[in-house]
Amino acid sequence: MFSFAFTPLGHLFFGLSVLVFGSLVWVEHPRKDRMLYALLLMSLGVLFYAADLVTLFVGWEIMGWSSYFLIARRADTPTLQKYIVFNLAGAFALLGAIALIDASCGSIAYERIDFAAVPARETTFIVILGLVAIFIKSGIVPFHYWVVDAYSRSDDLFSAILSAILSKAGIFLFIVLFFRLITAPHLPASLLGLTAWLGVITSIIATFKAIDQDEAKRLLAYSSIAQIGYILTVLSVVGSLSLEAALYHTVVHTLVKLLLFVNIAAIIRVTGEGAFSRLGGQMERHRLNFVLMVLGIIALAGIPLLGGFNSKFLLYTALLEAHQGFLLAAVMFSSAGAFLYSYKLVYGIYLGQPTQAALSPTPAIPSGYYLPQLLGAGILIGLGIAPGAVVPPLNTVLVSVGAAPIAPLGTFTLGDTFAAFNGGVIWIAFGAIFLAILSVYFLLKNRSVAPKDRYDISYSGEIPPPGANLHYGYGMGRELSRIGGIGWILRHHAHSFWGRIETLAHDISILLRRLYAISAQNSAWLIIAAFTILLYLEVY
Amino acid sequence: MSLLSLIALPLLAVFLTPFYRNRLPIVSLLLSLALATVLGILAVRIPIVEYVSFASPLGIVFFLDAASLFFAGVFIGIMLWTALYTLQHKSDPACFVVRTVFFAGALGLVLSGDLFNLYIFFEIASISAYLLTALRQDQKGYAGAIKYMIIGSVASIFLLLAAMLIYLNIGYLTLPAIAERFATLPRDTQYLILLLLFVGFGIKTEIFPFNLWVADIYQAAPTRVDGLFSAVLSKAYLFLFFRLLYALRPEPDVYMFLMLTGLASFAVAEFSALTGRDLKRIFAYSTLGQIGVAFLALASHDPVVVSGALFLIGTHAIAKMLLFFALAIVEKGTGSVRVEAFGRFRSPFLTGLFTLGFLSVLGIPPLAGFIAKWTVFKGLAAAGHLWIVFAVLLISLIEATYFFRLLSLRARSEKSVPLTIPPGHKVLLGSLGLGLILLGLFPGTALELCTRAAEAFLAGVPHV
Repeated sequence: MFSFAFTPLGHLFFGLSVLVFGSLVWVEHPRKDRMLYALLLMSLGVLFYAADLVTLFVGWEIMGWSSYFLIARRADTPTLQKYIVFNLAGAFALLGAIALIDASCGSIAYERIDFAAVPARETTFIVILGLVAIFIKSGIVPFHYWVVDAYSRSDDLFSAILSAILSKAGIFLFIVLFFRLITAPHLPASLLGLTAWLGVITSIIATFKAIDQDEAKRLLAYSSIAQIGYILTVLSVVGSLSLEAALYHTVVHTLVKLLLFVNIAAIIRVTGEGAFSRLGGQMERHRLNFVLMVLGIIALAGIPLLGGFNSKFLLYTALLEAHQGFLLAAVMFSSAGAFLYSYKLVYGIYLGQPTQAALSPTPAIPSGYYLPQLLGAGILIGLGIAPGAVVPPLNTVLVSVGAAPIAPLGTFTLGDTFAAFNGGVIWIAFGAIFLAILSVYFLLKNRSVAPKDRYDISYSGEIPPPGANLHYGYGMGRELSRIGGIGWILRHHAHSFWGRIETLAHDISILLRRLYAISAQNSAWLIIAAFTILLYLEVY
Repeated sequence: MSLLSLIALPLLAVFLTPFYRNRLPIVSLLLSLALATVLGILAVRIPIVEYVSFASPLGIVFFLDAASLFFAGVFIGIMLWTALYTLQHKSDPACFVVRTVFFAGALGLVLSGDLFNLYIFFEIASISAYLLTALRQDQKGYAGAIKYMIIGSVASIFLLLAAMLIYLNIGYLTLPAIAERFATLPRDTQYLILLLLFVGFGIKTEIFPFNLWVADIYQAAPTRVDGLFSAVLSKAYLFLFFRLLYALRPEPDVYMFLMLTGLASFAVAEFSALTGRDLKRIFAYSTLGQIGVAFLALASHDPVVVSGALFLIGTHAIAKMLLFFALAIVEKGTGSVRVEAFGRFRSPFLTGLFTLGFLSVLGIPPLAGFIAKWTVFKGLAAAGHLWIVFAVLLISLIEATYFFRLLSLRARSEKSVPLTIPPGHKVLLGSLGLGLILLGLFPGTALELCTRAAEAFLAGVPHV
């Protein structure tokens, strides 16, 4: 009934999962959750190594409900309800697609599925259902409703897994469905255009929502949605380079989100606070964590030096080469927004004046929290120096899903004939400039500055009352709501739409439930009435 | 070894109750073991057709083919499990008598091959069900039993009318004879007979709009009895209705109509459960919903879908026995079956079992329910009923909503009431949970049995 195949694509995704799970093992965990984590990892193995669609579905579903119980450790019932209803809706859509594939291809084994023989109407149905499953799992607009609450309200470390690994399941499914099974020529171009634009719209909306957040985990959740949006966009521009860009970005995003979520989990662990308005000034206390956060946001924002730049570079190149100028502009617009929330992340927690809540002394961060971060940061730095090192392994993945390999340009160089860069050169140049600035700074530094009270800002012409929140991270992003289109995004939520559906279902339920409480006589009368109606229908 | 012994043995055991009234749990166990043995011996000789006392076409006929073997096997399995479960209880003659007659009735229903006989077992099963409802001998139980009796009588009237019409027009009561001649009847007569059967069995199989009484009965009856109703009674009628239907071979649009009825049944039941506040009622709605799906699948008249439906019936029987028997423990411990009680008890074991039961009913892998649903969907999609697959999947979401809401109560509530579960009961309940997992991971043999049963089912009644 179930079959498996150990493909490079599976190795890539499962390898990332093992990396994330393995590094999180060293951080403290409640013992009773170990079973669930093991089950979740096993389900990912089933999902990524499946050789037929039913096995894939089994992995997909176990992944869904085992994470439900992990989220349930902390989250409230509405969050859980949202999570499970959306995820099961996605899973059921996938099941519908699989049933349809089985009916029209006569098989569900990857090797024997041949879409060339499937009529256009069936293909359209399969594609739509598959996309619904992918969109829900990856939180693409308008199916992102469940994502932010689930990410932000579950256990701090489990959020890392949700964002780093589980959101990638959607990407994995996209690659399996639309690269391995339905080869690109069978897909209507308009459909891929649609998914590309949905990806960009998702990333733009999520980016601006992220800037607006006060809670660090909610910000990261929106950021996660935005990054997955990029991956979807570049995947929709079918081609070898775009697939490579998507896979590269998947790797980078996994590492970045592992780093950032664990970083924030550590801060929450020692301060008990997760909101920017109640943090600030933590740099002095948690220096290593601060440095790791800086590395994380450099990668997140796609600034050269770390791996984050590599994937963005590939992404832009792929869009340019496909002559998708508008998409490129939109992605760049969204990426620019990403700088703002990256800044908020580091400023709100580590820089500026500490708020009242962040004044009390905190214990040191348990060393277990550093391991996943150091691992992530280390690999990201390695990728920054030697961006081309992962091209050969990614090529095997490309070949295994039927795409042409990219010609490798050497360990330190990434790109293709159109554009390329050398990571080693960038590091040397940046290093030289950085050292120069640093030495100038130390030479000119005035050592006679006396420490001041944090409310001692009377020279600014303003005397804040005690308890006033002086922290800039608190209000950052508020001004954005005054900008036309962005203000609209920030003011509108998917809540009202899905909430209305929920209310409707409840009203129907209450109405129908009354039916089941009628007396025996009425029930008997109803039966006779139904009989009479059916009889009448036949006679006339 | 005669087929009749499958029915005669339990009835005999009941008549002899005064001789061993203090050792009933053991007798009950021995009886079910004996029945399992008899069925095992008979199983190698299928299909079996047996005439008792009269010659065809007027006589009393019993059938055992792959389909009725499947149902009889499920029922005897449940009987054996129940006997093992009550092994630790004290000897209770009333309970023993009613339960054994109930199982005899259910077995009689799936084995009988003529309308006369069928009507008798119909009444035996019904009356024992009324008595089971009132087993606790409290006001609620009596009220429920009376309500059940009124509705049951309405069903009997419809069935009796159908039997009369068939006898008047065909002159025979045995199913093979009826099957042969039904097509020669005028179209209106055919329709009337089918309609009477549909309404009569619609009440008994608990199909919308004939199932509006069911939730009240489940609420009134003892919780463990609900398990039996859910796993055995409705399934027996389901089998019987479709056995008759496949024998009569009506026009194709009848099947379509029945599929829609099943779908409507599923939708209405799941919606009703969504805001339910009483666990017994919620489980009852869920049963109605699953019966709707099974009804839909059986009405599809497609071998793959029907085999999926049989698998669904089997796994649903296991899951609902598990859920209702576990609920009975919760009820005893917390004194309530309200939804709030679900968050109050402390027992990781039961939490695990409820999770398994819910996931299996929902059809979520890797549990048995998934294999059933997948087989049904696969067959429906191949038969071109794609939109039915979508509708069922969509409605399943409603089902998921309330089941997972219950599970979220387990995840975080204040758990203050410790439950004591006897080790024997733990083993038995655990074996059901394990069964759901194993059937989900290794469905091969069971699925093969269901396929064979489905083929026999669709072939109609064995020829004389």
